[in-house]
Amino acid sequence: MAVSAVDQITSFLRVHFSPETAAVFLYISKNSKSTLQMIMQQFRLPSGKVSFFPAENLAHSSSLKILKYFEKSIPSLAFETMSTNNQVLQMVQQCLTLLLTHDLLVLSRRKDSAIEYSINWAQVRVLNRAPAFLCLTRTQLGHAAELVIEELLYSGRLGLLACLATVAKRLAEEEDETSSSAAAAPAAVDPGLRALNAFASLLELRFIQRRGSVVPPLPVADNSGCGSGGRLEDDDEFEDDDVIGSSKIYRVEKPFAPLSRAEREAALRHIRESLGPAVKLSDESLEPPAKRPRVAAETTSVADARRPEEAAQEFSANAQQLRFRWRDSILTRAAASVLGAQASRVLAAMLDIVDERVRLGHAQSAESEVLAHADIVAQLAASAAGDARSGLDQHLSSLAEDGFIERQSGAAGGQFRILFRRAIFSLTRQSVAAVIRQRLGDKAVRVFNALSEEPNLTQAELESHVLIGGRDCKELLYRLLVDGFVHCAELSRAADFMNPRPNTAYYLFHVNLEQTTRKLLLNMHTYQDRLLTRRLAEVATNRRLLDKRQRVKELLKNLDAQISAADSAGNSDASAELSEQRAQAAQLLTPPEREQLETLKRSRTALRAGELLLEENIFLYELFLEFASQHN
Amino acid sequence: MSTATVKPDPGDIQTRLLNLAGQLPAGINQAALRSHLSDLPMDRIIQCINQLTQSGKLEVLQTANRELLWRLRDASADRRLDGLDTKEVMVYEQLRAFGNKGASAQQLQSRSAMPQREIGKCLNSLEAKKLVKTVRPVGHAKKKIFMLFELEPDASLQAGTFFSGEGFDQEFVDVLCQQCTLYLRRKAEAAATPAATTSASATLEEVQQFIGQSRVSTVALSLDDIRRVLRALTLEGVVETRPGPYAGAGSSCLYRLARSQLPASGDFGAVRVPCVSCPVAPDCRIGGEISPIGCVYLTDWAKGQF
Repeated sequence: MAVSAVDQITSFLRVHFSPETAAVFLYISKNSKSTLQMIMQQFRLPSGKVSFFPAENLAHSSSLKILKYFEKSIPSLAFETMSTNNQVLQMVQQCLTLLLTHDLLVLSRRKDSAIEYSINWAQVRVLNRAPAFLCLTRTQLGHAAELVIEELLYSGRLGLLACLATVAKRLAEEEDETSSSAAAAPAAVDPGLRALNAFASLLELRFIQRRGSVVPPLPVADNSGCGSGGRLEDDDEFEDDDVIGSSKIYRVEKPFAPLSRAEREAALRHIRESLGPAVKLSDESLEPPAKRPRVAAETTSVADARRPEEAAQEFSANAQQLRFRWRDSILTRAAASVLGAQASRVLAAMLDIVDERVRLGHAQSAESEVLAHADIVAQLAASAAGDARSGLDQHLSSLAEDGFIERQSGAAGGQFRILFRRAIFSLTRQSVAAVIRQRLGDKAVRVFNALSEEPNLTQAELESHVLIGGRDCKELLYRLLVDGFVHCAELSRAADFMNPRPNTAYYLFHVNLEQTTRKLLLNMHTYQDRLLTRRLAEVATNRRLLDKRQRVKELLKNLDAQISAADSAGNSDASAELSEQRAQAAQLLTPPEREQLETLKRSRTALRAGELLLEENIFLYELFLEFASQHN
Repeated sequence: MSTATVKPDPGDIQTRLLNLAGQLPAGINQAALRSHLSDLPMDRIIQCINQLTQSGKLEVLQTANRELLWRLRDASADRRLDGLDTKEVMVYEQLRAFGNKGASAQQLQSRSAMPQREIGKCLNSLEAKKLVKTVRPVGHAKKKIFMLFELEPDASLQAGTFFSGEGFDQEFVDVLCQQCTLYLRRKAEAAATPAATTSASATLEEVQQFIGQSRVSTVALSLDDIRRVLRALTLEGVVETRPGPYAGAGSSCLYRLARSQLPASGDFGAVRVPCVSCPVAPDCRIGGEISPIGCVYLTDWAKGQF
């Protein structure tokens, strides 16, 4: 795991929760299978005081890495605390509970029954990928769904009411900003209902799932017998109890059961209470949104006869479904660019059928189940892509020619299977060829593709295949060799195999796509790190200006509130004076400063987009390596 | 009564030799001479053989075992060999055996056991009489291959259509590639739906015809030459092939512009980030002399991107 991924999560935990949680996470990331006793011993200083994240531990990781992900300044973290063992124990227990809530921990039990904690690196990767997942959700399901996923990703697990209240509040604030800046008509659907509908859609599409709560540890009685000096006792006086046992996490039988009427009513009521009367909310439309037809029916609604404990279930983002959907998005976009929008919609409909048939925990398979022609027609009819039914056979043939799908039989219109592995392999090869084209030119792509199709060619044979002159071909071949896109095997012509010489050996060139992809994957992570560094550096350089803009924004907001209060009170003089103040306040930012802010905004947007592009390539390469390792 | 040795009449010896050559069409070797003409002295036989060779009635051959053979010369045989001495004829016959692949001087020496100098003299004489020519094989500009004047060199020796006097003609190949791409692009633009229909594709013959009409080449390009050019474009990702149900006799597939070349498509992601193609990427370090913070490539890219 790249060092930067750990630093990002550490920074996230420190900013959003507490430095102690970040410290515990950092320790466990470096010491897999740590027990509670080991964690507590780590932070014990000779003076008897406990320091979480002492300053000297910061030296090895630059402050830039800590700052980079969330662009906030972090104060000095060394602090003195914890006068008693039990306070320390309680603190560590709370940190571990929080990490478990975020699925960042993997528990295992030693032979002596002690619990060992290790980091769940898959979840670390999910959190690092959060911006890409948010972009995907926004593209597929809209802004409200994006906010729901954001809340659940960054909170780990949230209850329905808490999540919807937060999302509705954010939507209401955004609407306020939009309506105050421009004379826009108010949204047709109120924010509470938008949030609720988005949540229900996400649950139906399995982007989110029901999870059991993690029971926090009970408060431990303070053992004041240790003395006021804060000196920690010896190890054998620690109460090394397992904090979180599996029996204390509620399990959910139907993680994707849709929201019941009772849940929807409770949610709307809570939103109304939390947002207050200022925001208009509709009482009607408690019915769930129109459902898509499902091939495999799994919509048994959990009736109000559930047990009371289940009413307090929490929800979390379903990372596996997000990955599958991202993979599907990549395939449909590739089909659109090569075959057109109609063929892409046909493929999207087939992927939707596959998605509805996949169960929780289904492994990444190289091929989908067999899909009947009739099912595809029905799915297209139900979706908004009904016009793709015309010429369906043509589109299916085109998709089969390009390797996205495979026709299994011709009976009753045909049966088809989506070839994930082949499609991902093809896309990976094209992506690598695109990188080569960018770096070394079109002729280098010829050499690469020739060796991919016919491995183990000598230089002379390659020259006749690719129609490139001897000198140019040699130079391209060696540059590809140095960059790791092409590999070489030596075959000695002489009997003396021990000391082969260049003029007594054949050199056969070939492409090893797996090895090349691994190297490119490493490079992509490096490039992403550089873009992130540049983005944070630009923010740091313009920190003063950004703070000034924020202050001006808040001042204008206050003045607007005062103006509207004066208008509603009918005090025109005060309103006029306030308006004049507002106009002056708006001039606080000079035109050069505005231009600089605009440039900064463009630059940050470009860099963020670049990071997302790289993340998508990283995801593609990881999928390829996953399929390649399954094949091996 | 004294018995005087009667010298055999040369004419008789020649007649007997010609009769023997007629009985042995594969040729007369020394063993056959001893067995059939044992009554004659060998020196007289050799003398008559030389006379017959010079007169063109017999020709001299040498087997792979370096054994000499004398064979009746065909009446319709090449009269150009009249006037050649025995060694020159031998070299000429050996080159005839090598056919259109030709032979180097070293190969001739190993077959004939003649000294190198003699072979060189014979080859020069034959070249001067335009009975033999020199060919330089592809990739071995300093090597000389000799073959009969009227023969076409084998493909393995020939430089080919894409070679000029100075070697591989990259410029010519690039022009051919451009022309093929231009033709396929026109076909794609003229078709109703460039991505899917046969009308956007072309056969090998159609491309050959277009190239011929465009007069970019002074020599006629064969179907194989066009196929090689289109193959190179396929490897580059410019052209793609499809099985052709209505293809011509000379080819079995259709060629069309690759869909990635069509205007509506886009590339895949990360190549747009300047770091991917940055020439100094290996030296870039956070905090180093080359670092992403002051990178001008990133600055220009960010300005031009949005």
